Amino acid sequence: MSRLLKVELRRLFARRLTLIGAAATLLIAGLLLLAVWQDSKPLSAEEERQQRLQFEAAQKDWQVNGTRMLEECRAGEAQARTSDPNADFACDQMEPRWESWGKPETVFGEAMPDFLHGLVYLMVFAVFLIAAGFIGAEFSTGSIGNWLTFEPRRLRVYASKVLAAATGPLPGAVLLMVLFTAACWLVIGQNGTTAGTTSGTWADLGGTAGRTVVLVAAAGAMGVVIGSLLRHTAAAIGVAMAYLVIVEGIFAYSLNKLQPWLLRANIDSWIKHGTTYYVEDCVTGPDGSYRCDSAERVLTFGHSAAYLGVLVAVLVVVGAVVFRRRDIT
Amino acid sequence: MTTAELAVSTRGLRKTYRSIRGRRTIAVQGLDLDVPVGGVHGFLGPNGSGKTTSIRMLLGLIRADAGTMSLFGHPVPDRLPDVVGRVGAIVESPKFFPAFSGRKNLELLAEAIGTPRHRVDEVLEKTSLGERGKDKYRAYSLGMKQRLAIAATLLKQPDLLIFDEPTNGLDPAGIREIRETMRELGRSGRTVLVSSHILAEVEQVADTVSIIGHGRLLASGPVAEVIGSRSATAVRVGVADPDAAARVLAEAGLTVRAEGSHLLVEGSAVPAEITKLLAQQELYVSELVPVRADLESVFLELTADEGLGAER
Repeated sequence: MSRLLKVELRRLFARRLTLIGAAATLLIAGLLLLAVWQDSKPLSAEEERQQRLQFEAAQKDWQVNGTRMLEECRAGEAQARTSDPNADFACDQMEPRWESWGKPETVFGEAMPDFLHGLVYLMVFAVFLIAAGFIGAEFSTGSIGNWLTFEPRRLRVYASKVLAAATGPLPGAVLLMVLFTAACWLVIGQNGTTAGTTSGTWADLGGTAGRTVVLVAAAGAMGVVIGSLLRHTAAAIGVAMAYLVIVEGIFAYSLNKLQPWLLRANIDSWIKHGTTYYVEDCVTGPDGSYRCDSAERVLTFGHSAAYLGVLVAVLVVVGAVVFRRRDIT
Repeated sequence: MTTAELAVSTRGLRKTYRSIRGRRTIAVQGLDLDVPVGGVHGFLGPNGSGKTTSIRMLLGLIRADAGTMSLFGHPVPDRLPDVVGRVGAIVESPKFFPAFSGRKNLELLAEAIGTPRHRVDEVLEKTSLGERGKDKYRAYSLGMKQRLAIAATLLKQPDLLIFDEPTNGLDPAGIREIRETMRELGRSGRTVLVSSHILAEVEQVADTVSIIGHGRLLASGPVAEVIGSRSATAVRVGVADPDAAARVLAEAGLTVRAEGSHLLVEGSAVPAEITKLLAQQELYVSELVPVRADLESVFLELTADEGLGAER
């Protein structure tokens, strides 16, 4: 088994698609870093002068109309509290203050989890593609039949391919996350601030990286499973795209209460160690009026861990059964 | 002969394919095949007769619906892992990773079965691919691809080699080369099972033959026996006056047919008797050639016997 795994890993890294996929991932990660630099960049002197002019105009307006605006805000808040006692219009914060006017400084500890989030999706997608191509090529060239005449124990063959696709990309994923984080540290240190980065911040980032590694492994395994079930790289990519567009795009929008059972929300929750999502709560009031409010719901880490774990396990088992029984023609 | 003395044995082997629309196609129906150990065994039948399906079943690539199979006495597919190291096979066309070099493809296979890497060099040399080993597989000619496939089978140092239509698409030089390789392997004590729809090919390389039609065994045995027992011999006769000669031979009870300027005397014709009959009438023979039945006529005869009609 370990011999087969070794061979599959060798083949994985010898494939051109693997090298192209890795290079493309690196390139897009570079573009993400550019976005981080752009996002964290402080205002230029000219932009700050414009902001200052606008702030002064707002202050003048506040001096003239502030009292009335405050009264209107409080009246609106009181009205809202008749139906929602927790309604808070933040009227006390209406007065223009310079510290809340300009562009806020980017803080490494606060911004990094979101930057890393983008990289995670990139790696998951790239590894899925590479893995689907890894097995798809064997079916499309027919070399899987040749392979099985050398090692007919199909479950071993299947396991070696799934394991190779799951473990092969991990060193690269870890290295990319380390490099990306280090680069972000330098960029934000230059444009924003890295002050306040505590051991807790690093522990959180480490946790995110650890969960990302597991997710990347799952994406590799899923690439092989789907590619093996469909026997073609393009078909596997097509199914993934169709799922993203039809299920995550169309159904998730119109049936937003289904979000706890969709892949994307659960991946978000897995990476962020729990997340929230919004649903439309629509009610008909006593006066017959129909009203919809957006309500925040929590998707727990435990839910997403169980959901993703069961999904991956079921698909791996289905893939194994099909691979074991399928006629190789 | 026990199954242990046979390289390949199948009994009642059956396979039916079902299309998505539910249409059933019987590819193999109750095939009983015995391939003795050693020598070249031809597995002959027209396209679509079930040769490749049978081979795929033997190699565990597709599942049989019914029947039993064994390789060197080991029941397959259950015990295939025990015996697969003794079997090298090329099913239909050679199939390797096109973006890898020939050497890389072999190295991966060698590593998978724990064969030392120097064997790769040996088999590349043996198949005259030593200098082209570093070239990408996609750049190989069909003949080179076929040779690489043979090299792959030799990595295992197998006792049984299965070649499925090995000369398909090859040029005459390639065909000759592959035939010579098969003969050589057969002479070296290995068992070579070569499937083909080309009758002459099997006749030229095989010691024994099994003829299959519509998924069933039609005949099996040494090539000479299968031909001899299944088809009468004939004699082609060249003579100055073919009409007079035809009358003489017909009066003697022989079946005579005109074939251009010659006569073809069928039935149990003995050349000496023909010469004597004609000489007595002062008709002198200028040419007398015994015509051996070939596998094609045997196949046509066999399928006619079975009421199948030959697929041509």
